[in-house]
Amino acid sequence: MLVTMKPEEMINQPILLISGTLFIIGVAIVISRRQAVVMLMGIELMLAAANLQFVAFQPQRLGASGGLVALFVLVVAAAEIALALAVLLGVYRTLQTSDPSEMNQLKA
Amino acid sequence: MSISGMGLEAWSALLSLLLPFLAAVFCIFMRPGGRVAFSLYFLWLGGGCVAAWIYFLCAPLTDQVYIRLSWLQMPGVHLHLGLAHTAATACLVAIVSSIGLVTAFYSVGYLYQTGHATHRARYFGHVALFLFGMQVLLLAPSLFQFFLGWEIMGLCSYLLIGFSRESQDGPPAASKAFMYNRVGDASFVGGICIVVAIAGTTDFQALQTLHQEQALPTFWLSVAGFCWVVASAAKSAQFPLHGWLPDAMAGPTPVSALIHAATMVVAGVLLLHRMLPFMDMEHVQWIGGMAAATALLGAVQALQAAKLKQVLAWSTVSQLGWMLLILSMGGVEGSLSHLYAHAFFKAGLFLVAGLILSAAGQLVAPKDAPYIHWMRGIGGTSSSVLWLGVVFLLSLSGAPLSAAFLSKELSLHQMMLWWQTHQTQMTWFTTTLLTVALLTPMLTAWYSMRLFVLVFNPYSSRLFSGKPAFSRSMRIIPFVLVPGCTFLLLSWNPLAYQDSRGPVWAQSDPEAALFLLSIGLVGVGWLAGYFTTTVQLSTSDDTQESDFIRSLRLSLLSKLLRVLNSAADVFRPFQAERLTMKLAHLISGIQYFETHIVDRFVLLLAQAKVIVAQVAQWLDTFVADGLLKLIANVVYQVGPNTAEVQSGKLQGYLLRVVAVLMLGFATLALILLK
Repeated sequence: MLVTMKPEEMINQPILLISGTLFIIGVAIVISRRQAVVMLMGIELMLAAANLQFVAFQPQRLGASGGLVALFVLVVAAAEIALALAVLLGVYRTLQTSDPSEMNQLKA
Repeated sequence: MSISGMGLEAWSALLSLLLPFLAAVFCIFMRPGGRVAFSLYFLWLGGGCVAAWIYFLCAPLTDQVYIRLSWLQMPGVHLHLGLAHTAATACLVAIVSSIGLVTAFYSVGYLYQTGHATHRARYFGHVALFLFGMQVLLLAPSLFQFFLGWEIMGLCSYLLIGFSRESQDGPPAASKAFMYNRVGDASFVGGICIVVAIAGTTDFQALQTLHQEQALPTFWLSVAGFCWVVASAAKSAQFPLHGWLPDAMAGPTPVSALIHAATMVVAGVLLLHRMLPFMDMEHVQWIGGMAAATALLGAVQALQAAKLKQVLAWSTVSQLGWMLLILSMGGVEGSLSHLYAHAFFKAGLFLVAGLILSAAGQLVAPKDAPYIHWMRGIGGTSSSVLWLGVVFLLSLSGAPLSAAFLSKELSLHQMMLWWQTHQTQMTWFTTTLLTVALLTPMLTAWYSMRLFVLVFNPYSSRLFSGKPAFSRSMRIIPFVLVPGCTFLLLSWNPLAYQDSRGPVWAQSDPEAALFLLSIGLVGVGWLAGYFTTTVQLSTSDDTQESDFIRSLRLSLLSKLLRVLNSAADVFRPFQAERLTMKLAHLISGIQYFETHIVDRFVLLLAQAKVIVAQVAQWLDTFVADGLLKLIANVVYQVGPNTAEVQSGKLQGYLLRVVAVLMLGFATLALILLK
């Protein structure tokens, strides 16, 4: 894909780099942190990275629908984070912890 | 948004859709003791029912779209919501809202009797939402809205089956129903994605136009067809995914009436009916295989189920299988009319079952008696319950003058047409389908009769004591459903589906034979049911009788022995000496034979056996045991190592997911760069 890209389409490379870095930071946070709330922040970072890509590709490839999808993702992410925080509160009330490695009650 | 030709029927269709929703909203304001919101609830629900009937009576004979709203518009994707009239299923709108209203009225008494009256706001809200979901589905102009209604019903069935949170079976059954339906829903979403990808729209009319222009690729249509089949198998409880429906009877009985009759399971049949034009007739045959398996399985389970509601639940499974079987043979009208008939008598049977079970709850059960046996004859103690049971069971077994009789005639007629076109290329598969299509009505009559003998027979000897008390108000309500069980539901003529055509069975000779055959099958089923159940009853609980028979047999045997002894005494004194000489010769001959031939043979046999045993022992220790030990050792070695993979730690799993995804993307990038 990268090979076939024309020179005037390469403008977005820095943005792609930023977006990729953001995504990897998000993954690292989600995998390594011991706080479920911080894990949620990592998920938000990944979503933001994806949004950045949608906006970055908008002029060349996607047209107006790139921004539309980004808006869509924003709304869904807001709803998702509200639900996730509620679930975490519930988990905290029953288990007295927010460490994901201690949420292993399903394990025999 | 376009509103075109909003006549009376369009407005009443809109009302029949919105009023149940309004009723559901009003349940937020319903207090345990309050009356205003409760009365308003029934006002809205009743209004919705009246509107549905007006819509049905004024509805035109062609399909129309009244309202079309654009819900999502993106390049290549256009999803619609709205209000559409489908001529073939318009009467279901009226049937659903009527049965919904009847069950809601019945539930008032039911909740009061079972002590759940404090939660009635939650209950009635979910019931109204359930009906709303079904109307959304029935009046859908697009596959997308069909799916919305489908999902609303899935959610409401979960909430209602698990309504009683204290009961032991309710919540697990609710989860089970939800899980099974998820399988179907995932498949439905997959089908919608395929349709959007190949057509860009989910509008039924637009899809039909595209299909007629042959603009849709056939391969992807078959894949989508498979998705529809899986989806409807989960919703309509077909063979591999049927497990949730018999368990769902753990919910309140009126809810079972709703799920089995008016809403929920109907949706699967409707989906296949809507999507049948897009499917290849070669593939549709395989639906028939699934449906035939379901029909047989359900009927056999209904024959031996131990609980009243279980019999009814398995009977629904079987009937749905039969409908889909007929549908797969191209019998669209037959299966739909059977769907309507089934809605009425199954709702009625469940309401009667609720009456009986709540009356049986007040009786004391004798010990060691199977569930359905100790309360036998309970339905016969009250004449109104008896009559209700008889009418609904007659309709279930498809007796003449009932609605199911007409729908069965039509279905068998269409089965016959299918047979005539396939006559030249019959295989064992199509033969099996035909056999099952004929066998299921007989089995239905069989378990109907079993149910009658066990539960409703007024002359059976009772095991319980006391007179069960049936609630008077709840006893009256199921009578409303009785007209729907008679032939009036489908036609004015008791012997033909439509007056204009004349009796279906009089058109040609084989059809007259089929007509007689179907009546005969019902008769055979009834006889078989009556005799097997009475025999089963007489052997299961009368231990005194079998003791009596045993003593009788013993005394006869001893008499016979005494007679033989006295006969031997008469012959003893004659020619004793010669007889002993001859006997001595004979005995020495026998002795020779024994020692020289029989004993040697036995010895040889024993030696051979020892050799074989030794070989077998060697095989056992080294081959069979060795294999097992090998497997055990391998498992013993592998087990602890693999157990570490399932650490139960969330982030460990996430890491693995990320690793696999990165590997996948790397491979993809390599392939694309080449």
